[in-house]
Amino acid sequence: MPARLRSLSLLSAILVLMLAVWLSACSSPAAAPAPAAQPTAAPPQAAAPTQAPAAKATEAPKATEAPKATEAPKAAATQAPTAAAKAAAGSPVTGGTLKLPLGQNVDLNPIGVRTIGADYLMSVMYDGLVQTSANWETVEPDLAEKWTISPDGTKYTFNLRKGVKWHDGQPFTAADVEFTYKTFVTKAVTSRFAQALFAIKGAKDFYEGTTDKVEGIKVVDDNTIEFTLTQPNSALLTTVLSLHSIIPKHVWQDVKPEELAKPGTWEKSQIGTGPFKWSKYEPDKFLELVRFDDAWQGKPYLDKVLFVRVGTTTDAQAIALEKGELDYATVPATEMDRLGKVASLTMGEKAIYNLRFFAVNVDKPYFKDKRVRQALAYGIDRVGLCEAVLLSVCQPTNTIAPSKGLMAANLPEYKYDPTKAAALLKEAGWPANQEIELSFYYNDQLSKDYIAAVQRQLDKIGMKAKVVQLDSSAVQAYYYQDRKFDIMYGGFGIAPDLNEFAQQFVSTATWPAGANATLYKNTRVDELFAKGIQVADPAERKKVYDEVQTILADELPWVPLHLLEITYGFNKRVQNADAIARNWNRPYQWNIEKVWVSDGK
Amino acid sequence: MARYILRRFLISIPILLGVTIVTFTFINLVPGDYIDTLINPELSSTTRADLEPLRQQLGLDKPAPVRYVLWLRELAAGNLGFSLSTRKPVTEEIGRRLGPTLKITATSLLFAILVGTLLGILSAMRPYSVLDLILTILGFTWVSIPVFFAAMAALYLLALKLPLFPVAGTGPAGQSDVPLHIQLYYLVLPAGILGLERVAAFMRFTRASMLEVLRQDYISVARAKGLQEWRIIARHAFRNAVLPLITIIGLSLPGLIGGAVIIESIFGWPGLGTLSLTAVTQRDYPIIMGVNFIGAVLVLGSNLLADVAYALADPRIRYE
Repeated sequence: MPARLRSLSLLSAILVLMLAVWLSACSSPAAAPAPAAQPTAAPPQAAAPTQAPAAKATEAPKATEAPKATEAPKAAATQAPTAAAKAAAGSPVTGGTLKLPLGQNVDLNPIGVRTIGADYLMSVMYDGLVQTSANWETVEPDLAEKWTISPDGTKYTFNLRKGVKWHDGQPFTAADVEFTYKTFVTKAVTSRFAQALFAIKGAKDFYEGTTDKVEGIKVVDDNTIEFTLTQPNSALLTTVLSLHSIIPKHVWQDVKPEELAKPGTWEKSQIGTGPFKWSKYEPDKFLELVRFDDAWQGKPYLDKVLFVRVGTTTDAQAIALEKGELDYATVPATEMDRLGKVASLTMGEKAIYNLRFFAVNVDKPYFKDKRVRQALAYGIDRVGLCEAVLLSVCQPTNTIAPSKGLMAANLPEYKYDPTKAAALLKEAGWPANQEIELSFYYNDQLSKDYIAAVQRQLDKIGMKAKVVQLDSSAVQAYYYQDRKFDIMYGGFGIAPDLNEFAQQFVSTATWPAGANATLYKNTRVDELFAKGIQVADPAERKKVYDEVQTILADELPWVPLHLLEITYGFNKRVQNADAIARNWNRPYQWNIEKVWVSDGK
Repeated sequence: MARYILRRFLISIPILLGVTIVTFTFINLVPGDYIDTLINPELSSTTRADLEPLRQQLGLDKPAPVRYVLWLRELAAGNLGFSLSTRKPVTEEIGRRLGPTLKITATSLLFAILVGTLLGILSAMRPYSVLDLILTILGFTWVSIPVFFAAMAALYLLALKLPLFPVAGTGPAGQSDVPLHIQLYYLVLPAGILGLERVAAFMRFTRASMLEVLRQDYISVARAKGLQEWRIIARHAFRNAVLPLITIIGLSLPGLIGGAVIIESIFGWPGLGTLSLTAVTQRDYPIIMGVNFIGAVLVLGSNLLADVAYALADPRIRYE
C-alpha cells in the first residue's frame, strides 16, 4: 500500500513538472508553434483544408509569409496597411476561403426588420440601386448605372445596368426593382424601411391598403424605372435608397407577405445579384457563401466567404484572429500593440464616419440655459481625452458633420478651458447640489474609461454627475420613453448628408412623433432643414447646412466630441483587405470581389 | 412510495405557476422590449414608429397581464409559444440547442463524477498524505478560479500558445457532418473547463463522506475479518458514503441545461446557454419563459429523483 501511494505521488509530481516545462516553453512568443509541425505545413496543397484546424491554420500563413515578417514593422503596418499589402502582393491568386466573424443572432432577412449588424452580409449577397461610396462622400452607381433627377426634384429616373444576372441565372430587370419597393411598403412585411419610402407618391395609400398599385413607381422598360415623389427630396439617394437590397421577383412573388416577415423564410436559401451566393447556413455556427461567376462586378477571386461564429467576447475574437481561424476582425484599440507583434497579422485603423457626442436633455429646467451646455463643451477636454483615453483612435470635432467636405467653417472651437466653463455655470446659476445622470450604452472598456474621465472633468467645473450604464436594448426606454436622461453619450452613424439629422433636431420630430429626444426646438433650424431637402444644387445646400451647424454649435443640444475610427487586424495572406474594412453596421460599398488570399486556400 | 411521488407531483404545480409568474414579472420590469432591440441607437433611419406595425403583429402592444394569460393558455395546450425574434415555436428553438448543451454538460458532469469520486476516495484512503495534500490544494484552487477566467486562460495557453485545441465551435467551420472523434476533440476544452470546477467539489464531498464512514466500527470489523482493502472500500465504505453524493449529483442535474451560459458564450457553442443569453439581450420573452420553465421542471424533478434514489441506496429510508 504505502509503496503504491508513493508511486502515485511520484506520478503526480512528474505531471506537475511536465506542465511547468510546457508553460515555460510556450512563454517565449517566437517559440509558440512547435517546430515539429513545420514539415506537415510544407506541402499545403495536398491536405484537406478542414482536417487539422488547430495546427494548420497558424502554420500555413507563417510558412509563406516568413521572409516578410521583418520588413513590416508595427508602425508602418498600422499606418498604411493597403500600401504595404499591395507592394507585397503581386498578381491576384484565385481560389481560397475568406473567414469572417458571424455576429450574434443575425437575422438574414434583407427586407423586413433586421437585427443590428447584419447589413454587411447583405452587401455580399445583394446590391442596391445606388450605394454610398467607400470614402463616404458620394453616392455611387450600383444596379442603377446612372440616374436623372427632374428639375423640380420630384422625379427620379434610374437606368439599370444591362446584362445583370440573378444567382439562379435569371435576368435582372426593372420589374424586380418595382417588386422590391412594393414589398417594402407592404404593411404585413413590417419593413423598417416603409416609413422613409412614404416619400414616394402613393406609397402610403398602398401601405394602408386603399390601393393595390404604388402610383409613384413606374416601370418604363426592362432597364428603366421611374420614382415620383410627393415633394422634392434631394437626400433620397444618400439617406434612403442606398440602404436597400434589391430582391428577385421571380423567387418571392408567390410568397405571402406574412411569410416574408418571418426570419425563417430567409434561412433556407436566398438569391441576389452580389458577388457571392448562398451555399450553406447553420444557425449559430456558420454561413457559407460561394463565388458567383457571373457577377456583374466581375468574377470574384475567392472561392468562398465563410462567416464563422466564434466566441462573443472580443478576446475570443482576437485569439481566433491570431490563430488564423478568422481572417479579419475588429479589435479593441488596447490590443493593437500586442497583435501588431504577431507575425501573421497586419493591423489597420480607419475612419467609420461615426459621430460620438453628448446629447443634452434641454427639456430639463436646469439645461434650458445654453450657457450650461456651452460650459459642457468648454469643460470636457475632447482633444486630450481622445488622445489619452481613446489612444487617438478618433478625430476630435466641434460639429456634427461626418466629413471635412460637409463641415462648416468658422465654428466656435470650444478649446478646453475649465475656468471658463466654471464661470459660465456660475453665470447661468447652476445649482451646486444638482446631480445629473451621465449615461452611456457601450460596454467596451475604452468607453467606460472615457465616461469616467468625463465625470472627473465635470466635477472639476462644479457639475456633479452620476454614471449610468445602460444595456443597448434599454436605450429606447431610458432615452425616449422615461425622459429621465440628463446627458447621454451616444454614437451616430451618419450618411454623407446632413439631412439625416433632421429627425434629431427639428421640432416636429420631438419624441414621441420622431427621434428628437433632446426635445430641442428652434424655428430657424426647422426652416433650414425643410429648405435643405428641397435644394438640389450642392453649393446652395452646403450654405443651408452650414447655417444649421452654426446654430447648433452655438446652442449645443448635442455636444460633439469626436468622429470614431475602428481598429482592425487581418491575416497577412489577405490582399486588398481594405475593401472590407468598414463599419459593418451600415451598408456601403464593399468590394469583396477584389479581395484575394495569397495562399489560395 | 407511489402516493408520495403523486403528492410531490401535485405540490409541484403551484410552485411551477409561481415560478412562471415571477419570471414573467421580472422580464417585464426590465426596460425595453423586443422591438426596442431592433433599433440601432446609432442609426437614425429606424424609429419606434417604423416598427409599430410589427409590435402589433407580435402582440407586444397588449398589456403584460394579458400576455401572461395568453402564454399560460398556450402552455395548457402543451405549447411554449413562439420566439419573437425567429417566429419559430419555442419548443423547436430549445430542441435544436438541447443536443449541443447536453453534450457539453453531460460530458462534464460524467467526467466530474468519475474523476471527482475516484480522487476523493484516493485522498480519503490516506488522509493528510502528500497525495491528499496535493489534491486538496488543487481542489481548492479549481473551486476558487472563476470559470470565465479558467476558460480564457485555457484558450490562451492550450489553443493559442500551444495550439492543441480549437478556439471555438462544435466542429471545423463550414463543415456540416462532423465525425465523432472530431466532435469529441472540439468538446475537450469547454467540457473539461466546465467539469474541473465540479471535479473539485465532488472530490471534497467524497473525501469528507468517506472519512466519516471509514471511522465507523463496522469498517474495523471488516478489516478484522481480514477482508481485502479494495473490498472494504468498494462494498462497505463507498456504498455508505454515496448518500450525500446523490444529493449533490441530483442538485447538479438542472445545471445540465442551464449551467453553461458563460462557457457556451466564450466557446461560441450553439447551446441553450447562448440561446438564453441572446434571448435576454433581445428581450425575447417566450424563449426566456420557456427555458426557465423547463429549468424549473428539471429542478423539481431532479429533487424528487434524488429523494427516490435515497430510498433505493439506503433501505432504512421509506416514504409513506
